[in-house]
Amino acid sequence: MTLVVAGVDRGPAVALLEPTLPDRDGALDELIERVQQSGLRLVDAWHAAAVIESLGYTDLRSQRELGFSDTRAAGEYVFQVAGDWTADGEGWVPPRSDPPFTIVARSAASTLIYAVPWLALFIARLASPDALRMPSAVASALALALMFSLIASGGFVQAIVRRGEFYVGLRQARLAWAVMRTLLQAGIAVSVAVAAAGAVVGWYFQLFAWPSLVLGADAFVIMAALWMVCGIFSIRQQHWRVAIAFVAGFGAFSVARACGAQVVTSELIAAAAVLSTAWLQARWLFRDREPAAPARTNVTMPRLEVLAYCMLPYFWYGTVYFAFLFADRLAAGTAVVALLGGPFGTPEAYSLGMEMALLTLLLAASGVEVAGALFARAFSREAVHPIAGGVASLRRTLNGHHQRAIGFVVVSFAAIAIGVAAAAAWLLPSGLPPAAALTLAAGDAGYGLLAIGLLNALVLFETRRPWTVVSEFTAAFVINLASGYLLSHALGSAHAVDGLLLGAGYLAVASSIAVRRTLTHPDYVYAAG
Amino acid sequence: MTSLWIGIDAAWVLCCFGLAVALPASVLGRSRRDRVPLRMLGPALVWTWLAMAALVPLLASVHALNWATALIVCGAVPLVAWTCRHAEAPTRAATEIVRAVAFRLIDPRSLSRMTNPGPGALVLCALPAVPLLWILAGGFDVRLPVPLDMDTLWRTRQILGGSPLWDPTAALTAVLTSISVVDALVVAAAMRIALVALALVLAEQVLADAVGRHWWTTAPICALAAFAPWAPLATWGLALAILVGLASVLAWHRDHDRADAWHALAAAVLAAGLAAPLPGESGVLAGVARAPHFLDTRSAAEQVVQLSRTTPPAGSLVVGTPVQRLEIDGSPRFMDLLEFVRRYQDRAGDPQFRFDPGPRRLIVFVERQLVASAPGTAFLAAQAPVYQVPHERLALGARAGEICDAYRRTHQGAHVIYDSRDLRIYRIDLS
Repeated sequence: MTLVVAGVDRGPAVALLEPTLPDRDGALDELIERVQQSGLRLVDAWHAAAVIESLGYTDLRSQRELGFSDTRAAGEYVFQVAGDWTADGEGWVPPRSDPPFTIVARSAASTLIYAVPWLALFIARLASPDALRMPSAVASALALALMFSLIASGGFVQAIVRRGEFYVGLRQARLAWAVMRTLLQAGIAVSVAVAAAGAVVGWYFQLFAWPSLVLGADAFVIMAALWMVCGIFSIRQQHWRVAIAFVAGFGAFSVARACGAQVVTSELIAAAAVLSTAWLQARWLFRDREPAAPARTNVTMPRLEVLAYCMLPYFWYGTVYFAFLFADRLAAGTAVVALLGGPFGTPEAYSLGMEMALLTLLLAASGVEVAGALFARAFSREAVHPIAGGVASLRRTLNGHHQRAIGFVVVSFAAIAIGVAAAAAWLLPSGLPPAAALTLAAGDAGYGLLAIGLLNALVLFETRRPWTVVSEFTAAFVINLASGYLLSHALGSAHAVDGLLLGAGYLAVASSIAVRRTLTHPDYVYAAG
Repeated sequence: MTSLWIGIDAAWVLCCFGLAVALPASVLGRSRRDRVPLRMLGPALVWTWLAMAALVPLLASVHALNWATALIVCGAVPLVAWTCRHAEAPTRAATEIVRAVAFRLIDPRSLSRMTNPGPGALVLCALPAVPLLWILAGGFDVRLPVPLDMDTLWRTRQILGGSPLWDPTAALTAVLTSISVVDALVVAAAMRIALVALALVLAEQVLADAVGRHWWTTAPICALAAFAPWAPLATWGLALAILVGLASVLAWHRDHDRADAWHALAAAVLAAGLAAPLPGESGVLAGVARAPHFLDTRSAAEQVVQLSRTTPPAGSLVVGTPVQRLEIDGSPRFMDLLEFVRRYQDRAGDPQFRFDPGPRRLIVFVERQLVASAPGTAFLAAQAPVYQVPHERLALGARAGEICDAYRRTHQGAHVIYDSRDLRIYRIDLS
């Protein structure tokens, strides 16, 4: 047996065993033919070794049949011999990513469409407060119904959107509609159960009178269904349908008020109008594009347990996200009950400041979406280049993309926050009260940190670390609620925003650390994807 | 009817108490194969009580004690116990539980594979049946039979009002009041049944562990159940803590399990905490009476609770003695009987007389039976001297009755809404 060292142009020197095996050439020809039939364009010797192993060749088999020391040596040989050919059929072409402008426009539209109704409502309250003023007996119950409807439906919206995008991406429109309808039914059933449980809790602990409890439960179910149906529109990037639904709602509200209906009745009519319009549009969303396809074909549903297992982290993320968003308001409202003995509700200055801060977040969420989309685009583009021996360089590159994304979020949020504050100071008849201005500043700081956390969440989702997002958001929510609750009860309801600051600060720091740790091993990240 | 509703409220309080103790007992009991949850009732009560004693004053100091935080306080001990049991991999254990629950919700077929709860759990659920039946049969007196319990009730009201006081018994009463949504007076009265029953069960368990289970160990316990001495709630709590400590020490001596040492330490800390609210006067905890010593008539106590249940309309003012003020829920406005007599004596008979503006309805409690006093209770010692002398208190009530009768003779809108041998209640509508 003689060791023969063969120098090659494109790779390190390899040690080959002198061919003393019978039919070695035949086995090698067969191997090369099988590699060729795979239709793959070999990138380097490592790629060739991976293909060889995928065809069932181990180190032992490579020694026994081919005469090489291991599969890597075999890969070196195959790449040296046949690495220049162009495979039959289509080679792999990296998918063309959308140009940056398209990504920016699409991402911005997906979040701004939800900010516009909120902005319109905010301006309407400033312009005509009496038109939207509700009786105090039901205002608290309806405010809680709105908050808890978003919390309860948030998880289902995430599940509906992600599963829908998955099946639409597979061009399985009917399957997408069937799965989403199942998730929607489950979401509505859960909402009805939660509404009933909430009514029982409210009755048992004497939180509200019976009429308020029933009204709150009804509003909760309607709004939860509305958010889930609106979530469907984002699957096919048809966010403009949300605008149509809300315009119908505003119209219904105006007509009802013009006919002399009370504010509560008009708002319920408007909510029902929005829901009906949205549902009618949703049914058209997944009509099959091919006219030749048979209608009403039975669709085989995936196993619900598997579906639930896949969606569980995104479900919890959606739920905890909205719980985090409203934790400070819950703390402030309960502080009013404990300290002043009044009904649940936030003081006017606090409410004004936090609503403006929330409006800032809704507008700035487009910046988060854009930054996340641009990072995902960069993440995909970096995957095209071979990373063997260049992990450190790839790590630096990805960290650079991440830091630029954070910078984009911070700058866009700051600009929007300044704009909103200036517009408010100009629009409000007597300017912004000092207490509201202080709350706005603290709220903006908290939501700014939350925006950083949201960007990191998008990065962690892209790098297949969803449970890390859930754990960080849950910890941040607990910090937000616990500290806001204690501080608001000890120092006054205005200090509920301190909880938001603490929770969002933890989220920003912890999620950034998690992203840095993830990007420390980018090769594992790509392998996991 | 009032007695029946009070009995139902008391039964509900016992159920809440049972759940608050059974849940941590279940978590503690599963840590060892030979420990059934029933034997963990004592340690579970000690740890839960200790958690309440520590957390409730903190919450009260920031006005954060309500039904939600009370539920969290009750859940703290089983959560910590569960976390300690799964200290090596709590996340994995929690994930398995969440997945199991989620998949059972999605796939109901898996519900048929649920394990049999076992006889221990059935016994645990059946335990409250005996006192519940006794209560619902009308054997429950809502009054507090030991004067020192009025101090406990007083501190409970203060804690519920936001004062950070150290009193483990009052903390337990405050938490049960928040969870059960029942008046604190009914809670305090019902707690006596629970603490006495648990103490007797623990005493039997200690004796059985020490000398084995014989007829001559069980018989005295049964006799004690029939003739339970009238001791303050804190004394029964102290007895419970001592019994749990003894049982834990015996168990540790037998099995050398570190958990039993912790249970004994917790019992010692709780015992010290129960004696702490009485600096220099801990000897009153050893006071045991042969008969109950009520500070109010049964009619007055029941009517006060009924008034709390029916929630008087806004603008109502209740007039009564400090004992009734303590017994009633804090929401309606209250005027002291002595103040009422001082302000309106000899004037109510005048047709031109009007009560002071403000309240739209007066509800006046007039006692017609002698009620004994109770020296040594901090609550009564803080009241006017007239309430500490039984005859003076009765005379004050008589003068209040004269004022109301004089007003009835010369004005409209005054009625007697309750009249018995020991109590009369007047309702005076002012608008």
